[in-house]
Amino acid sequence: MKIMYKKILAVSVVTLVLAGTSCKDTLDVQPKQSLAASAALTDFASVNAISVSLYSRAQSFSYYGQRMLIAPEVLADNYTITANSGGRYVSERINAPNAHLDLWGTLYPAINEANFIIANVDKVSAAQADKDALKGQALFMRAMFNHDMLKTYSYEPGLEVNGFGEGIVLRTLPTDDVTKADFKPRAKIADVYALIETDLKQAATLLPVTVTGAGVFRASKGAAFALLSRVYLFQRKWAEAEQAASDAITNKQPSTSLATASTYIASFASVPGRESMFELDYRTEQWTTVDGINNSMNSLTQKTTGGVFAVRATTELLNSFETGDVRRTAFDQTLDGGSMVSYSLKFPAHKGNYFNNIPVIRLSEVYLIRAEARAQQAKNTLAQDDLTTLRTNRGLAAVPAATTGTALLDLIFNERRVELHLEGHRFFDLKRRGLNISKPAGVPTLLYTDFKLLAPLPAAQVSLNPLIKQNPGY
Amino acid sequence: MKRKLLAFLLLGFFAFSNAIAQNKTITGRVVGADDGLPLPGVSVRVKGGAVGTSTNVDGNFSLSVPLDSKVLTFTYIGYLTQSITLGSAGSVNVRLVSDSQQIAEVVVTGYGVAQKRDLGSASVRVTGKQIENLPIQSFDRALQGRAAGVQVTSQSGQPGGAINVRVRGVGSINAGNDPLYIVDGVQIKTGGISGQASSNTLGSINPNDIDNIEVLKDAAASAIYGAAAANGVVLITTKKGKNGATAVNFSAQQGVIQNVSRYDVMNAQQYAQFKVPGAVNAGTSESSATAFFGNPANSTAPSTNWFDAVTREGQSRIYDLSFAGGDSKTNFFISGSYTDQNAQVIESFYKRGTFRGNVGHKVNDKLSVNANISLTASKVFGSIADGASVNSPFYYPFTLRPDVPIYQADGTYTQGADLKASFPYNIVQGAKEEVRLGNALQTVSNFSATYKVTPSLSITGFSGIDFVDTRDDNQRPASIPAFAANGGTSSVVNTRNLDWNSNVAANWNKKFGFHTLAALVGGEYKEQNVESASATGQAFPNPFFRSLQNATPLSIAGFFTGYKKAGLFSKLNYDFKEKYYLSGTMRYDGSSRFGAEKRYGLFGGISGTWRISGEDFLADNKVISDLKLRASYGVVGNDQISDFASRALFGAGGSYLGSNGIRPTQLGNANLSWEQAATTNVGVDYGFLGNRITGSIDVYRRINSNLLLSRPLVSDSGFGSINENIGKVQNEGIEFGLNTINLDTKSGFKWSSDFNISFQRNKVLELIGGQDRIGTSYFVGQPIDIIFTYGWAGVNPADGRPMWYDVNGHYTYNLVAATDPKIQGTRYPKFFGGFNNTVSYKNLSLDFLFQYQYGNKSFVSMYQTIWNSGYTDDNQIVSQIAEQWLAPGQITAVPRALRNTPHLNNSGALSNAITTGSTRYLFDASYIRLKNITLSYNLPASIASKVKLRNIRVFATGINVLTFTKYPGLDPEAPIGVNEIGNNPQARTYTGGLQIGL
Repeated sequence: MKIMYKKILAVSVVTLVLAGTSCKDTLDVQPKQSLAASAALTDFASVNAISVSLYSRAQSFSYYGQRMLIAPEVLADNYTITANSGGRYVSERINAPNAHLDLWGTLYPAINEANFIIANVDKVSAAQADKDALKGQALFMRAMFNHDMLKTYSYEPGLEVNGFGEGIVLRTLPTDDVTKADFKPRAKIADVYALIETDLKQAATLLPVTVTGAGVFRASKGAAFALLSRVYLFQRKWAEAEQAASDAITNKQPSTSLATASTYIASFASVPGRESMFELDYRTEQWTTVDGINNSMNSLTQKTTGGVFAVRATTELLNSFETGDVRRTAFDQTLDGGSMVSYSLKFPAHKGNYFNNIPVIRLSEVYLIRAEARAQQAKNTLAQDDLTTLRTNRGLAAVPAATTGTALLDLIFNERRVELHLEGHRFFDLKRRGLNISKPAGVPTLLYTDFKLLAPLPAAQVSLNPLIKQNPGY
Repeated sequence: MKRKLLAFLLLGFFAFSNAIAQNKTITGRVVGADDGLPLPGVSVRVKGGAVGTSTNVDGNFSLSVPLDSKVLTFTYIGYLTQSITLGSAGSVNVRLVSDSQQIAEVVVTGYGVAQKRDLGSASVRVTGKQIENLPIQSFDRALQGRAAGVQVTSQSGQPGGAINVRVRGVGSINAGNDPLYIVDGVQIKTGGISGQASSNTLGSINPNDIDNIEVLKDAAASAIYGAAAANGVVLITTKKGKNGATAVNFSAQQGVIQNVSRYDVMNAQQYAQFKVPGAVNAGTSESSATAFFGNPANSTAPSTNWFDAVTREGQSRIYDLSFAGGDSKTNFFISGSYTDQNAQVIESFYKRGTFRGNVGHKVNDKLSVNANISLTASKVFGSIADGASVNSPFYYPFTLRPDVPIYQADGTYTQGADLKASFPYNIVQGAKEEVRLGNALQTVSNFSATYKVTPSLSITGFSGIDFVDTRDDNQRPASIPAFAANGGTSSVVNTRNLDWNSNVAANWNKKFGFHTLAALVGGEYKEQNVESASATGQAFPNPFFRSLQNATPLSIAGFFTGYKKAGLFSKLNYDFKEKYYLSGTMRYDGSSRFGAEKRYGLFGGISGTWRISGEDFLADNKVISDLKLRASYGVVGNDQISDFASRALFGAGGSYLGSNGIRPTQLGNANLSWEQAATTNVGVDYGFLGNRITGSIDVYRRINSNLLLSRPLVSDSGFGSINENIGKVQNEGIEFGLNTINLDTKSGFKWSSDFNISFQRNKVLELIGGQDRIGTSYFVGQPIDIIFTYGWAGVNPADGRPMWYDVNGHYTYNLVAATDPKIQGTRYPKFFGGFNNTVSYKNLSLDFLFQYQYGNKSFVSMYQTIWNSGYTDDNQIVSQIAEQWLAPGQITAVPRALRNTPHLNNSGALSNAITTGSTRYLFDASYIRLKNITLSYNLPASIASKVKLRNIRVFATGINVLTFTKYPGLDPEAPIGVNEIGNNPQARTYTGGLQIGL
């Protein structure tokens, strides 16, 4: 009996000890659909894969996938809601408090990813040209994200209301450790612009005219100059804007050219868009079943059998077109809530299932930027030339030589309105000039001094970070 | 050997000497009063004499007694001792009544059983008898109202839908709050198993197979489960066969499932009457408003009731067959069941077949083996979705305009813009044509062997498996225009969940005079892997083709998660004279979920008990029959954090131009570990008047610390948060259970009641870095689940404008997000519980359970959509027509109707919209519900035996029969932490059935 006891005891002890000692090795499970952070940054392919995320974020419906294009139109006077918009853009139409773009949560993760690329691309081995192209894209995207946020959350330099000069938070290093996620105040508007300019200049240096195999679907040298010219325009740095626009036209990709009067409508249905300097490509697998009908530009802006049809053109926009403008023909009409309304055909879903590519920067915008920059510098002839180039490709007459000064500028602004509607410019075009935001009939004008001109920072961020200042009024 | 011989001889002598005396022989049969089954081994003795025997396998006995014997006593464990006065007849048939008090004495604890009277910790039990034949799909529903301290809320009224069970409140903010479920020793995964329909993994256990459910509530009881025990432990023990004749039980029931909760929304004319003035008030001309909303004067306008079109009276059928029996070496329990329920939403159903085989066998005196094997196949067709989505039957139909027909004149579904809806989706077509099917195969099985080394030492090896294999089908045919552009989409998700645990434990106990010592030592290993693969295809040739081989591949996806844990445990119990008890438990646990720097932890608990009624001074007390005072303290862990929460990760980062991206998804924290719960419990178990009144009172305080919180990071860092162990929450409460036999008359009338009530208080003690709040969700000093919103100040009687309260409690039309919202209440009830009554007269029995909670609030988000004075074009609650503000001086809660635009503030700018979340939409969700009522009749044994049956019982049961509440939402039973919108409410079920025993 005693021996039995001992045996059992020995077996139990051994079992338990085994169970105990083997724990250290046994208790290890590796995730399969994620990578340890250390492994993700060691080779070029992985760092390059982060750039996919940048473009994927840019496609989001809260950004260029939808809201960045529609909200600035409805917040101003180009578009308004249909009789049955299903709650969409109802608050934007009346500029209700908090009804604005909300980019903070979408774009800072993207900026962090860009920072991961910028900080690590030089550490991995690959051909220098590939590394330059990758870094250039990351810098371009970071600049675009920063500028889109800055124009949403801040005033333009020199146009501050009550001297409120807060820009946005600047992040240039990757958050690879929790200690890096420190509290930072909003940088001054000028400092943000300085970084954006530096990024874009460096991107323009690093980027090739065409990133191999990517066409206009990834950032390129021409796109970097184009965005740089837009950024200068917002700061009213006219000479620099003119130069950057010229550089953009010089370095545009071979596939990019102005559409003509006869190809204008078709240009929106071509892949890539004929005028695209930078265009976001969309593919079927990127959307779930209902994304198309729920959130696509096509579903929201056009009247189709299954679509949502949430926004329509305002009478004010339609009245801005001159007689003979081919762009006026890029609208269709339908009965809506008892009356005939017009909707744009810019997003024809030519890729099927509500799919469109999204043009982020078009060549015509670059011409318009240069025209405006030149007109502001009283380079009337050059400005008229740029505008005439565009107008003759839209079925309109050349700009008379007599049109100078304010008249020329007004013509340029109207040209911007009819050329770039539904591409996310209208609200910002008014704002960057310090103008009140005009609204369609029946909706009160939003004064430039109204606090609702600026979007609110996420309330949670303001209560979390004592260094950060909320925009006035919120 | 010599001694044995001597004893034998002596016995023989007594037998002989008895035989010489004047004797008579009494024969008879002893059966259980509840089930009519023969009871073997019942001790039969002559009162006051030495003569005795016991019943055989068939419950029969034969005893030769002295002629002058007057009374026979029948004693059997778990039954009330019965004395029968002997008449002239030579045969006695006895029906022993089970003693629920005594039965409850054996309590399942971790890795063993204990005598209830020995137990120093808090636990509560529900027996299989209490939940027998209820038309429920999973046993967790049956805990509702029956177990003090256990709060059960329904996430979905879909049959088989998910349930929330909370033992003693909510101790964690971000880690799980589900208790640990252990079925016959197998630790099983909780939660939903289908991505297509709400379905509860616990549905794999047929409730009728359950012998008892034991809920371990305090840390001393659950400490043996260490890092997994913080939310309490629910031990489920399935039935076993008994030594004796095989008992066959068959039951069949059938009934209806009815929807009882709906919002009273407008018909077409009411809609026009309400909406047209609202549009006119907003500046639309009357003619175009009428063109869009209809003519208010048209009383014959065709009207659609969308909700009626997607709901129906469902049906319930349940069949159950079991065999239980055994002999002295082997026992078995075999059962099968089939459930078929059509739910309140059209097309939805729940079908389940279960099989179980439980076998125990004694190989010899030393070795015994045991196996419990279950197989379950279930099929759930979802009510297409819950929540605020256009395919949710409890949301969208209430919002759809009543002036829009379901079908066009040509018989096709109304589509697109003709629906005049926020999203062009015809929900009737969706409900009929979309497929959301969840298929599951499950087994929870185990095998164990126990070797008795010596009478006081045994070793048990145990291995258990929890396996779930699911297949989810989702089909969205092209006949629905929303999916037409894709040419229809189908997806299939296959998921395999393999979860196994094994342990070795040695049990030792020994009595030394008045001292009893018992010890348990063991080790355990557990592993869980979940892996899934899914495929989606689209562009079908036509809507009738739906399987993937006819589709163009769209996407494939995979998923894996898993963890491993290992632990060593030990327990020591000591008692002195069965009056003073001490118990201590320790467990050393490690888990792969925890960060590299903090992977292992030590957990433990101690308890002490004084059985006062065992003292001499209470020995003959007529009033106090049982009294026990217990106290315990323990520290356990909550390991329900996500499997890779501690790692720095790069995960999937979208796709672009045909390439897949990666992005940083999580910041690492090597110190991330379990949450810790320390519970102090003091309790009294009492029994008065011969245990006619029994119950327990428990007072506890549980402090959860090292709470896993997502510490918010400034989002400009690119991360929203990091997981850290910070924060502290306290739960304290009093639980009171009272079981009484109110009446027990000689005429056969009996009334007994079980009442329980739990008072609970939850409070956040500490948050991140000494801060007093996290955003608008958590506040130090407040319960975890608060409702933080604006105060609603009502409608300005002068002009019908909505008003709110600002931070200073003054009226305002424009709210300031930073300062004006306040904590307006909590979703926790102040108290909750149940009140069960059983009234029986002879063979007729009525059992009814009221279940209640009080003091909890619920935010009815749905009202922001359908009770907003016509701000949106959704259909609206009818009462607003009568209650809307129309004239100055009118005092009402419904502002002047105004479409699509807020009212103006005093300076002519826009005020806040009526739909702004505020206390306008906050309601008291206290309720009392007649949860179950069952009327049953046992046919007299004489009739049953004529048709050669042991018993026949007919019964009728109702579930959710009546609800008393002021709550305007669909179901006050919505789970904690959820705003009510589109919730699938509990249905009312009536079934009738027949149970036959052979």
